[in-house]
Amino acid sequence: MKKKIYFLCFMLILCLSAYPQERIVTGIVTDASDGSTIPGVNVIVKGTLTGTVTDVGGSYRIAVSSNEDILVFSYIGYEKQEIVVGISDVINVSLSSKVTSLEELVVIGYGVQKRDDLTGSISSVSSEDIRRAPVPRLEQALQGKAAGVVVTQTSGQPGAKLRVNIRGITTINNSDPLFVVDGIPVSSIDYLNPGDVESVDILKDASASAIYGARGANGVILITTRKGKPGKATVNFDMYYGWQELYNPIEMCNASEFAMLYNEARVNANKPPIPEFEDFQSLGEGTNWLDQIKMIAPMANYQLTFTGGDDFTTYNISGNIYQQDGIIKNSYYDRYTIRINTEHKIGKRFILGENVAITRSVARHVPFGNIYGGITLNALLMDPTVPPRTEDGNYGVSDVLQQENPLIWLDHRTENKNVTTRIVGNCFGEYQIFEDLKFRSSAGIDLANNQNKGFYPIYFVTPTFKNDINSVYRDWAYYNTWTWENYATYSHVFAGKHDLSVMAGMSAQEQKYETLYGARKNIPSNDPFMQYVSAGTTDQESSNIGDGWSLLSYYGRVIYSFNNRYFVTSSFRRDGSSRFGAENKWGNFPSFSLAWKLSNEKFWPENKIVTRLKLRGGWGMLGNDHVLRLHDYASLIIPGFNYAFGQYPNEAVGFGSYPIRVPNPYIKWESVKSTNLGVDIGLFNDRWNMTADYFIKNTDDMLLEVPIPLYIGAQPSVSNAGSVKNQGFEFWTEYRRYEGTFQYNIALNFTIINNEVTDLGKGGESIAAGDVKGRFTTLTEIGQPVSQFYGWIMEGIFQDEEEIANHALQSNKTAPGDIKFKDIDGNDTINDKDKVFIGSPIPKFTYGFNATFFYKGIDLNIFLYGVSGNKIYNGYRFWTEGWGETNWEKSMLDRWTPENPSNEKPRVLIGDPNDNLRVSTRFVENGSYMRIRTLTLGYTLPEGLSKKILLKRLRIYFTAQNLLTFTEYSGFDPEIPGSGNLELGIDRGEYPQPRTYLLGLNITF
Amino acid sequence: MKKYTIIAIIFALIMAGCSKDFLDKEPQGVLSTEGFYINAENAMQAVNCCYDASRDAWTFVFTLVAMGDIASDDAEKGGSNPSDFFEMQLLKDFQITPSNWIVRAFWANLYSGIYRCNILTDRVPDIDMDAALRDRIIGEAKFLRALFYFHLIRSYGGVPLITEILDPDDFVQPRATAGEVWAQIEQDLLEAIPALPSRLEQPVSDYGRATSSAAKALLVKTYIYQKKWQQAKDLAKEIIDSYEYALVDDFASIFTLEGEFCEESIFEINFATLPPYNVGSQYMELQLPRMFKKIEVGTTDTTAGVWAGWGFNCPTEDLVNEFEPGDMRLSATATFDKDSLCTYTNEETGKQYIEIADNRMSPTGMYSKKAYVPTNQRPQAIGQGGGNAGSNIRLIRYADVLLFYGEACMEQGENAEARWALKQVRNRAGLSDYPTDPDYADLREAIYHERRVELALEHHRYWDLVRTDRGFTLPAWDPVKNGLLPIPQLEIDISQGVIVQNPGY
Repeated sequence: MKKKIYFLCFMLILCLSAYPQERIVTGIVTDASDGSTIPGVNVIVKGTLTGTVTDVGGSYRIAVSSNEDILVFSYIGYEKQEIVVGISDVINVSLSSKVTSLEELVVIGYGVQKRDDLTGSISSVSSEDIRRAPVPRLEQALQGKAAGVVVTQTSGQPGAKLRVNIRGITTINNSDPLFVVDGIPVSSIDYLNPGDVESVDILKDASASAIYGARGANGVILITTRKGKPGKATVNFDMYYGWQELYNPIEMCNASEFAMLYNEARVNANKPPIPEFEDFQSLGEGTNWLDQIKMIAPMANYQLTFTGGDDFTTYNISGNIYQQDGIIKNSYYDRYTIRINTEHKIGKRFILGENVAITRSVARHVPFGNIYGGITLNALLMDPTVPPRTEDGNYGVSDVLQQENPLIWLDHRTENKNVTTRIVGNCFGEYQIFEDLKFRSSAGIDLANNQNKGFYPIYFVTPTFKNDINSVYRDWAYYNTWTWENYATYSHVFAGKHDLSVMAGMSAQEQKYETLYGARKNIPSNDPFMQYVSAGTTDQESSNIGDGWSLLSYYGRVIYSFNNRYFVTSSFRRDGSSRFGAENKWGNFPSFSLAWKLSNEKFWPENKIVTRLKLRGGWGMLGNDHVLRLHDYASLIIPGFNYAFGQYPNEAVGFGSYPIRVPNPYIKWESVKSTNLGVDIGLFNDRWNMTADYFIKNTDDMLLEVPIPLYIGAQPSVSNAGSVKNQGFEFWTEYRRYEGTFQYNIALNFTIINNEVTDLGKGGESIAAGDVKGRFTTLTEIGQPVSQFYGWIMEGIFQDEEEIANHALQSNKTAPGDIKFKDIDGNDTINDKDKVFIGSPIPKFTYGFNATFFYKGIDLNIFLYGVSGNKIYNGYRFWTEGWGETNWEKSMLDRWTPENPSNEKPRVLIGDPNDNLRVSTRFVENGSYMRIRTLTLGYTLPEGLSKKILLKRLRIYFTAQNLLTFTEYSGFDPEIPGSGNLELGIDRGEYPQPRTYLLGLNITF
Repeated sequence: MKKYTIIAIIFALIMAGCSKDFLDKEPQGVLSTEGFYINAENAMQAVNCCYDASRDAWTFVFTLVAMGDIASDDAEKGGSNPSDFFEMQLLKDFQITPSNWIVRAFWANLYSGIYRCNILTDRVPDIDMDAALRDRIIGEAKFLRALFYFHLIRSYGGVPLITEILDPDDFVQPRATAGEVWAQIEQDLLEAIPALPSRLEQPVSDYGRATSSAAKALLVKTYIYQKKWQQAKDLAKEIIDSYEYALVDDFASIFTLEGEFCEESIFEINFATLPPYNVGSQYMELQLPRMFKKIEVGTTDTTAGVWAGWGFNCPTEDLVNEFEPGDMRLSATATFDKDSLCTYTNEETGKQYIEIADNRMSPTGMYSKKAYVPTNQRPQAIGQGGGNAGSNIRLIRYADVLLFYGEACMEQGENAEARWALKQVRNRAGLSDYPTDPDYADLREAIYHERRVELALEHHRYWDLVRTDRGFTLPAWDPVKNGLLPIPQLEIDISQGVIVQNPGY
């Protein structure tokens, strides 16, 4: 009964209990090539849970129970060795280095498997890869490292989110993968400190991710955090400090150029020129507004890690501080993390442990990326003839443009703060019921509290740029998620040939959330100590909403292999979700996959070239339960349809409500059927490895708000109506040389994906999206990939009246210098029927290249990432090349004039009678790029030298991020994610990504 | 065996912990239909939301201005420049297309109102509550449903006729004939009339709700549009003889906030500035001049223009010329440049200012006076955006019914009665019994003239021209389209052609 209590009691505080062992064996582990000692080698007694790790001197100490016990020595990069204990008390071992990573264990969800035995498609990123190029968010570390995984930075704003897409865009809805940290699914991983991560395994194909059933459709990213290892306590201190800069500014006209163009634009619009601008040359350079809002921004990261343990308890405790200022003034992101991971062995068969992270992040943002642009756009468009501040200290204000001085914005409209506190953790117990059967139960929590505050002060610059009434708001959200996972695993090798592993389990997960919002106006002062809602005196607003969801699942998996030649994996999951109506709560997600190691067959000729060859194939069914709204299956009464009754001035509100939506009780998850064929090849004794995969992913029952007739008078619910097909090919190869004084590994991967929408529900209504200044730029249509740019084709510039007369009618006011658009249907009028697909934002090809070299303590890492075959809709050029009420890009100096018959850039003009600014190929640019994402040069002090300064290890390094980008794109940065799957690749004047230089230190005490 | 017992207990606990309702997550803080429509309060909320449907900008606020006035010869579009709401210009030019969003918004908003009425007539009859109140509420919903269909049929022709909650399988419906839609409107109004209170029975706090006379007045209008002159005449006479309504002496006062629900007002779309509730509209903001000048009393110092409204619906020279000399209604209809509009006191400084018209931005040099609201009554002045203003739309006035009565009498050859009605309206405006202009020698012309000046910028003109077959007088008139809007393209696409487009589109 005592053991039952262990099962049910999940505690953070650990208790020790010791059991005497029969005998102690000690020894030193050395490297076979040079005789140096190897710290951190795993030493376990085979078939038991008893294990330890060599200390910094390479020595170990382990308890064994009999002379027949076998000690297994393993370490990444070295061949595993097994030694029978015998009678000796001292066993020294020398390990020889290994050239493959095939012995590594891969986390596959509810278990681990040897990489060499995988039947599905799984990519892994190791902690070394993550730590070599320091980044604040883990997703960044995955970019370009794994084939089929596309990671896109959404913005250069500190703390900005990233988009992760695994194997294509499977849905127009949320296609984020499922993140699982230490076995517990979490909603996002922005709380994670990448320095705490041990490994990342990415389940890509259905046979691998079907074990996550209704949430596996977009792939699963399994993250394992660092655990302690038995051995002497070590203390690591890692830090870096860096500088970020805006490195690719958009060149705008200077004061004299602007004045010249502005008067020309006025004359073209039959308006009198501005007298002050007549002598434009005297205005000189004027103000570069981008310079006024940007800065060289510091960033810093400090991490202290304590790790160690003994035969019974291991621990890894770390604290991290990350601070980053933005390259646009008034933006920053700070994150503070504490992580405690411990494991404790009680008796021979029971392990109890926990992994907990507590994170607090504080961020201040400047506004960006909405349809009206943000502060960088404001700076680009501002009148350069105006000084930032006048001689008497006031803000410079333009007499000719309506643009606001960006400094007014910075000083008065960026008073906001976002504070997120998050506790994510789990406790687990694992009991070895008998030798081959283990049972594991873990309980996880994810508590998140997000607080936003904002204040909008009173200020007065001019009657236009002012705020008469100050206002304050608070917006709090609280998320509470718990998970309970239970599963048992049975593994046994029958007759030395039949390797069987069976896993079965269940899990329950529930989330509840609530938000609270309050706002008031007319605060007696603008002082910081008065920026509270209760200090406001009028216009009180408040709201409070809550909701939640739950998921109940049963799952199982059988892995069988015969004689290390034939491998079969089959999994099954049954998920029940509260997000769906009673009819469709439950779904079944089976998968099946096979692998055949040809190289282990008898007929395979013994050779030194192709040393390993494995064929893989698999099929599975997955789901996506990201619904637009949680209760579309029910008919909900929505309040707020109020009306006033009574006579002025004594009207009173009559409250009204009604069910605004036609409920759809049949909603269920989006379903993805996926097939994968792959091959793994090892060449030259597995020094050179490669993996290639071909896949087809068919999404059906995609959740869409299929329009219903407007005369029904109600809003549609989502229904399972659309289909999308993704097929692709991905390739990964790596060459490793881990011997001698010059060691290196070189890895390359690429991915080709084709996406096609095959169904959009009854009526097949195409979906227009991607609003840029009130115009839709993308169309998602059957037979095309999602989110294609859609508009007119620019043929050139009208050079004279005759050319206009001979061309289809565009506008009665078309004049020479305006853009000529293509008359697709030949009806002599340019209208909606002349719109065509004008480019795809989805890259045809994405690739990553990663090379690391080691030579006598020097390490050099270079990482390249690139995409090609995609287009970007340069939305901000809507302003910087048109409109007439803003500054122009320098490229507009090459505009059409009678003297300069350009065929590229139209005339400058106040107003736009010809609609030169319509969505057209004019704004569609080549989005391909290749970028040296990181370049790191490090040096590790020789052991002797570091010992003299009382350190075990000291490494210093220098890293440059975004050092060089090769692109034709004219904007700040070609890495443009768009704001959702229906509007990819639209640049609305984003927060530019910085170039960063870092100096770092890794110290082990 | 002990081990297995433990395992068994664990799994038993798991199963027990995950009871069946674990996956039933009720929506929080919101009722579902099953828990609603059970008491009088619910019934009241059900009917209030039907009224709310008339508040959306593109149900009546913008659409009536755009179609009733701007599309006619009474007004130019206005706004900040020609491209500001150019959809309104497209309407005027008869260039609007089936995929244009305002065509869709007007249609969708009216049908949203009809849906709310249909839910009410479906659910409320089963509520156990005071029967009289229930009948009244159902009567109000029927009135509103008729009002929404009335606006649909006169703008789009015969439309799908939906009067109940349809099953998703029956969503595709053909267009009903105009006759069927008119019949439904008449039926709803005839059923509403006995259930609704008269104006005199209605408490002030219920102003804004339908009355029996409002239903009758809408029915008069319905008859007039169908040229059912006898029925129109009889029912209009019933309203006149009830003495519930009378023309107020000061024509201009009708259009002040104090004049809302005056003795002459039969039905208004009611708006109010009641923060934090959003029960106002942009009706005032849309038509308020773009800028004013303000002068401190006792000085000649003029500040630069003060930004105000959006400046749409600018009365035309043609409309102004329609007014006879001495017609007191002209100054209550249009503002002219440099008119003194109001005097107000800045409460903080105590200084007095005069607001002066500065109509430079108007394409005609004029703005609507009927939509004008003095500075200190505008919501900006009391800390609210202009978009939440309280000016009502005077949808049906007694003068409108009188002129309909006159028109129906005239069409029936009862010229003496027709002249009586005309005299009522004209005398109040300070004019003689009959127009002195020889152009109006004909009684029909005289009545048409009177409708135009009496109801100018109250959003009747376009449909008056169309229903009396005078649409051809509009410069861009398209006889094939015959004054109707296109059916939204989405309806044709979704119904896969079951819904047929109007001619000319």
